[in-house]
Amino acid sequence: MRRLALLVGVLAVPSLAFPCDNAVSRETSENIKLLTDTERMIAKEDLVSAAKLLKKVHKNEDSRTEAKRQDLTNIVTMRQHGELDVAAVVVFFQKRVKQESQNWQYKALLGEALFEAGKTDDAKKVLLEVHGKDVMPDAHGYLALAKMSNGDERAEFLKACAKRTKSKTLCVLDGDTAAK
Amino acid sequence: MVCVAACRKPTKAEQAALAEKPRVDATALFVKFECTRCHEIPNVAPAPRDKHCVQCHQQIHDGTFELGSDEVKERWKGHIHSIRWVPSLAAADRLRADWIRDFLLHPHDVRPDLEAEMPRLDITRDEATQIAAQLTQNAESSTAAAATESSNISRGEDLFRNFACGRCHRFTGARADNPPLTETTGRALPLLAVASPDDLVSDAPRYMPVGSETPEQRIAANTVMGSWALAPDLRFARDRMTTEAIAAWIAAPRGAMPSQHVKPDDANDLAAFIANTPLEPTSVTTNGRLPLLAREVAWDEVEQRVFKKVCWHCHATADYAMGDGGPGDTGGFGFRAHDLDLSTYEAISSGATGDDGKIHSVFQKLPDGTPLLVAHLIARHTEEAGGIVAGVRGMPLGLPPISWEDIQLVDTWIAQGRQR
Repeated sequence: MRRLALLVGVLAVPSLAFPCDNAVSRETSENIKLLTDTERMIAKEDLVSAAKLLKKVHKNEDSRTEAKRQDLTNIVTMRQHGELDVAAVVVFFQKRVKQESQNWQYKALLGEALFEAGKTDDAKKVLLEVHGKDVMPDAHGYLALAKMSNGDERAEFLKACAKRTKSKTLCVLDGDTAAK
Repeated sequence: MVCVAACRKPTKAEQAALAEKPRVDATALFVKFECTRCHEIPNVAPAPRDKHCVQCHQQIHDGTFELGSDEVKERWKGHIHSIRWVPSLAAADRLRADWIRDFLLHPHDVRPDLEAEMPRLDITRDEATQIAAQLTQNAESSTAAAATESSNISRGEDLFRNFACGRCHRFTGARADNPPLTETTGRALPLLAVASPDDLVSDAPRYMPVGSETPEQRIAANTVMGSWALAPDLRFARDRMTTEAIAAWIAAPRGAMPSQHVKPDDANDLAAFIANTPLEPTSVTTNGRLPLLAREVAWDEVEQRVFKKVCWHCHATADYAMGDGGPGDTGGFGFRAHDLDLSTYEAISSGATGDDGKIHSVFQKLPDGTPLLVAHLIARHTEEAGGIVAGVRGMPLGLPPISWEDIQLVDTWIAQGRQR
């Protein structure tokens, strides 16, 4: 019976998609509200709150929000440096890059994951490509690049990192000061 | 003599030729450009409700939209300024086909009180020609002679003032243009007796003397219909229609234009005046770009004042919209996907797919040093003034330009390194 209920839930007719859904769905869908709140927490570097919110997000509500839930789960996992399976995160974002080649947020996240996995050569190559096109989505790609660089280059990446976060500490490395 | 020639019945051969004229079917183009998201088009199915811009806006404004809490709906209502009324294309057969074609290729502001305008589509001349042909294929050739004598024109001007056409219509550049009348004495007046859209085609007299309306009546008229905003600037009438078509329209208007019970002779003289009275050239001022601000500008301010006010309606997050990220993201209105999501800092920073199919930063500098994003915002001012910027489509598409102050804000934010 539970299986039948689950099947019915999965096959249920999806809700209407309004073209200005950024305004509509974000205020009418509980799941999307949870996801956007999670995004806000990630942007604030409050990963603990982000992880808590993610636990409340319904799984498999529809394919698009499920994809988003998985993206955010992998970002939080990667940045919490906890019991993470970095190799799995790398595989996850490699798959996303393949699926959505025009979404360079995934490419930057892959670079970040490669760095966390210790594959610095690969990470640097990917992140420099993103930097070269000036499409780095947030601070973390530049933070990884700074950690892999020295001298003026490192200072430049830290500066770019600081521009892309509200955190006063994220882009400060040992002996370096983040200049905004 | 002219009338004899113009009014003669078509010969059998001419009738046969007319009957054999191939019917144009531009339905595929209406679908491609998603015209029915805004316009009613005869014999073309309307867009589904969840894609219908006007229905959505009207429902949100009227409080009948089924989603969202009362608090949320009340807030949304305050945001709805535009796209509540859009011209029906059922009456487009009064227009010249070549004008429709050119307008589709280079849209400009025809209706000064309608916030939204026809968007500048990515449309070819051939496509525009086909659409114009379908919209005008049922037009009846007028057999009336055009009255262009100076006496007719002069009488037409008197009639224009007596009928108070300026209550609804601007006539920019014409001596009879009367902005104070249009703006302050109540565009609602000619529609005060309108209780429902059906009344617009009834014969009930609806003219009321200036000042006789109550504030409640005025509000009710505006709230119920507000279709005065559809009144075109008559400056363009001579390009849009033949003099004969203007006269026929005045005598027997359709759609949002209420009948003023104008006699045929009066309609002819009004048309003569509208089509022939001299017009002052319009002034074009498009460059109001302001210098960068000295103070610091961060994302929150830019997001609230610009990106989340307008832009993200068409540049949305596809994952939160069942895959439809809007025309500027996943594609629509005939535009292919450009993958530009303007709803978060991360998304806007990640660039967009250019016409070459490659990813580009939206902040890349053009040869004159202007960031691409800012160039799009400035281009909208040029378009609003009747111009076109080659290679740069004005944004927001089909909406009033963003103020120079807000462009200055975006400009400064970019120049300062896009501080989060």
